[in-house]
Amino acid sequence: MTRLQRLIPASVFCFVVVPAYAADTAQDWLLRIHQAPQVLNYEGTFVYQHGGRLDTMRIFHRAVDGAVTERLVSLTGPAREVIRTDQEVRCYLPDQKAIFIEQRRLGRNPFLGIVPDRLPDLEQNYTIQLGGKARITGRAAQQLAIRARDDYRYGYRLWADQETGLLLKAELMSDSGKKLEQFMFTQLNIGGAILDSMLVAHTSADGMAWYRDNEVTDGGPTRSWRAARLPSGFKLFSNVLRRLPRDERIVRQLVYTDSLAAVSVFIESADVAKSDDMVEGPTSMGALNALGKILDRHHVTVVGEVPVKTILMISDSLVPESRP
Amino acid sequence: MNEKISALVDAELDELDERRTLEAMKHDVALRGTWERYHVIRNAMTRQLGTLAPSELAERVRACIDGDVVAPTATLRFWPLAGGFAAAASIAMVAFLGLQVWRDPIVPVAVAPTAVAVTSAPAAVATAVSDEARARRSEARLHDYLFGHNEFMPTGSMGNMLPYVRVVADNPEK
Repeated sequence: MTRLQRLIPASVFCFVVVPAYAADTAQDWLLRIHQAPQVLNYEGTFVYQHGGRLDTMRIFHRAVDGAVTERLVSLTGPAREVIRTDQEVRCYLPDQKAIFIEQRRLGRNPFLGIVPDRLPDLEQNYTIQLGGKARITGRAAQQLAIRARDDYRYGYRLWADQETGLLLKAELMSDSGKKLEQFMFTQLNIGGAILDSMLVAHTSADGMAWYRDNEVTDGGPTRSWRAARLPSGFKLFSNVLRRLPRDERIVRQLVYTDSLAAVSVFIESADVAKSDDMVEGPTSMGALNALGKILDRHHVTVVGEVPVKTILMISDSLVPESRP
Repeated sequence: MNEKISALVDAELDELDERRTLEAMKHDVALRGTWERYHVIRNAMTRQLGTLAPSELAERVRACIDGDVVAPTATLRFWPLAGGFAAAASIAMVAFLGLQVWRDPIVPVAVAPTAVAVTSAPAAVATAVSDEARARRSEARLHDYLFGHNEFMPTGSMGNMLPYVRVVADNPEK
């Protein structure tokens, strides 16, 4: 069977709202998990655990004709909220007196998702297996285990709503089996009306500073860079110049992904960058690792939800592609 | 106890053991030294030779655990946007570790296969005001990068809201 023949049935499958009985294989379930937020309204409360810390958040999610609007509110700690549409993301951080606005370029070109024709690639680097049945927040759930085939990426355990495919619980696992992050709904209503008033910010913008990030076509480091060595399955997904929201400096961002994990490489010319405020050395926050270094008169920072060794492989192998 | 510390460095302890071990380290300078050496060894084994911890790291970590003001400001300001990962003591320590190495000059250190001692140049004690300010600017820079990175987070695995869950997550040590 040719690759194309293999993909046709799956591609057809992709555009149909999949009824529960149709999801038989682990791959089917993974697709359903990905598709569910694009077609469902829901509101609920979930806990997010990272290390020994537990945060509680509330989410309102509306999908109308494929257009998604979502509002995320913290119920513990500072009253932060995030409002996300296909076009932009607004982060209200009252404790920092700041509002960040991020344009969603990917909203127009949703490449970075799980679609059937990417599954074969994904399965080169992960195994996807059905687990047992469970109950999460009173709903029947199907478990799914995604294990990395090497230690250059993390694994996942997912629990999908049996009826709709919505992700009810997820765990991010290190290669040694340690749980790095977890989220789980504790209360959930699926399918009800989500009013406009539930999707607007309740944070007052008074006294807040606004920061906006922009893609630019000019300025910044003229030279292009690439990672000469990448873990299996990682490919260059994006190479853009962007203006950083806070001080408007221009950086080049390369994004490498294996479909589930992504690594960003930020490159700034050392002539422009103030050397005393760059990221230096390695730092890590649960699942997220970062490393900053100076390379050929440029400041380079590598960031991603991948193990340190992946960050190191990429940062150690960066080379300029051409002379300016 | 050394086994526990080794497991702590490898992030293999369960939460209860983690807390106990950290508590023990809080009161025992020798254990903190052991912890520091294990980190050096582990770093060396994972080829992080250029980024070994500066000396006095364990002392500064202890100060951080004790709530001393030697270096915590930077951490407190960093974690909110990064996702509030400074939660569990162990994660906090990783955070401190990261920030400490991050804010000090990177000192390449030659490590023989059997070496256990940190031989880096003396690191500046992190009390200088300029250091604090610099660390803060570094953190802001990483915030900006993370913000840019979020956009490209694949959506299938943990759900596409997760990057923003990290944004919203609280910093417990405020």
